[in-house]
Amino acid sequence: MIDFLVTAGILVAFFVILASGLNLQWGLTGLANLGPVGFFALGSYVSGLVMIPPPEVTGFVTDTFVISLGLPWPVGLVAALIVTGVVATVIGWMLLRTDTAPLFVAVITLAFAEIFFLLIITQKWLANGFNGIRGIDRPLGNLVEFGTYERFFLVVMVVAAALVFWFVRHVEASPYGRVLKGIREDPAAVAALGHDVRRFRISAFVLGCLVLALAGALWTPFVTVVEPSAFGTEQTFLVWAVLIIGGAGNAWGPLVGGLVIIGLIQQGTRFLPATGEIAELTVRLRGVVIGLLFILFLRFRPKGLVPERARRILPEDP
Amino acid sequence: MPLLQLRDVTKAYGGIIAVNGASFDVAEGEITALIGPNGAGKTTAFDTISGVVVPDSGAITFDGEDITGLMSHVITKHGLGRTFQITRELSDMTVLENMVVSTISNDLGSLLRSRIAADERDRAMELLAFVGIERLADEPAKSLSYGQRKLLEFAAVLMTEPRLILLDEPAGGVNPALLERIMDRIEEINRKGVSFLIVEHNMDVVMRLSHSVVVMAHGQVILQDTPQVVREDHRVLDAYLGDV
Ligand SMILES: Nc1ncnc2c1ncn2[C@@H]1O[C@H](COP(=O)(O)OP(=O)(O)OP(=O)(O)O)[C@@H](O)[C@H]1O
Ligand SMILES: [Mg+2]
Repeated sequence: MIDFLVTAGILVAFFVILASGLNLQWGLTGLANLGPVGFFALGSYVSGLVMIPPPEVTGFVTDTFVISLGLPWPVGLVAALIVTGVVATVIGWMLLRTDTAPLFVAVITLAFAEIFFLLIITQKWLANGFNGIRGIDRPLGNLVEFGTYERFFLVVMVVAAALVFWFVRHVEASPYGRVLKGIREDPAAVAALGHDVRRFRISAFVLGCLVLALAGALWTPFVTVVEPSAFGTEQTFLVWAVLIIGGAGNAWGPLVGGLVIIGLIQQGTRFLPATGEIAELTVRLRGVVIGLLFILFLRFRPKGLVPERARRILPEDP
Repeated sequence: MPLLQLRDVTKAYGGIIAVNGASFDVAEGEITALIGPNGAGKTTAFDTISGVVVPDSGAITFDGEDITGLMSHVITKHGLGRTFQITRELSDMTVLENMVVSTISNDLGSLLRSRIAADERDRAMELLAFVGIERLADEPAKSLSYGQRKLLEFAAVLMTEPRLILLDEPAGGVNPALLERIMDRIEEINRKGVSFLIVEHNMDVVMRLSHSVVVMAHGQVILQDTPQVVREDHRVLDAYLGDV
């Protein structure tokens, strides 16, 4: 029971972070990133490649990696953020003009995630193809007793999710966030008021991708393997469901969405007293239920469980 | 030298030549009206001046500087503000948020700060009071009436402290009481030395406000003169009647 709660908590925190990253892009700026899983995967892979020791050391001698540095987790995390920052800046630079159509943003980000996925599975020299990166050491693995590692990791994830939540809340209320919301509503009007729409869009896109990559880099050492099958399109769907059902455009949305969709529906249903075929059915139905909820919310409550409100201005002391 | 100068500006949308070699001036400190029948190219002329679209050819100078083809936000920074024919307020944000958006810096400093500075908020409240909608400051912009939106847009442009303001049909769809207020405020700002270029169909408004009138038809400027002269010119009447 406790173990279950710990696992569920880790997953909730994890999706809160992912949906918060998407919230910066879609919720605040109106950029429909349909490839959040691609940036999450990028963060995972970069941190994994930095952390994995050479194949001679791990014992999987047939594994091939473009780099295998065997460096500690914090280095992997920073490397993941730097690489993702560069990649997101390049994509944003090419993609986000003042008059870029929203659909175009969606298609290109979706394509990015697909291309990254294909690169990984077809180019075995990069990160060992289908088998992925295995044998990553858990950070502080020797300090934390076996069996309690999950609890330690839960604390790490909850702290990270809390920091990300605080960050999005800050962005939302900051002058910068107000410009983003303006751009979301009418880019031409914000440009006419004197703002460089392109610059704001690129920076918001990059910030969101950094948060997605952060989730990836946190995930790597916990599961100790980075493999392509973890980065399917269904993850993108889940992140979007958490954000939309929770409520886009405010920091609480991803938090509530994460608790309800991941905590209650995806993980909570593991508790239903069921055996055999019925148990199997509940597993299968989970995705269907989340999908249905997603559709119902889009139709009847598009602003989600915690709708965004226009914010009153509290002045800063001069 | 005039504050704003258009020389042979042309802008086509596919086969439609919306603005066809238009040249006219806006003198510093004056209110210039831009009139003409529907589809004459007035809004498109505004769009080329304010950087919403890039003209196919021709030159636009503002205060002696060539601003042809610059991006919208750069032109705003030059001191040239505009409103839109169909108001483009940020509807999910409050009236006050709409006001302060333009004062936010374009760099990442705006990310590090957590609030809007008090003096910017005070200036926004003053301008809202000036146009008479300060009591709506914390309402979402979408709850405003059409006329109130026109006032908000006007006040939001004033926040950028422009030297020249382009207004696209400030009187369109506005009730007589609000119209009086809008005209009064335009005159008051003008007395402080701010120049205006105003597209307007309401001839009473044009005659009362403007020092100079530019007449467009079929993308071309057919004349620019004082309101008195324009009123008597048969070409103007022809342009309007030809449109019917
Ligand atoms: N974005 C566009 N795409 C295609 N055609 C356009 C576009 N904008 C304007 N036009 C066309 O250009 C011509 C001039 O339009 P414009 O809006 O500049 O006229 P206007 O003088 O402002 O008219 P109104 O008094 O009705 O506002 C019209 O024939 C119009 O249909
Ligand atoms: Mg028009």
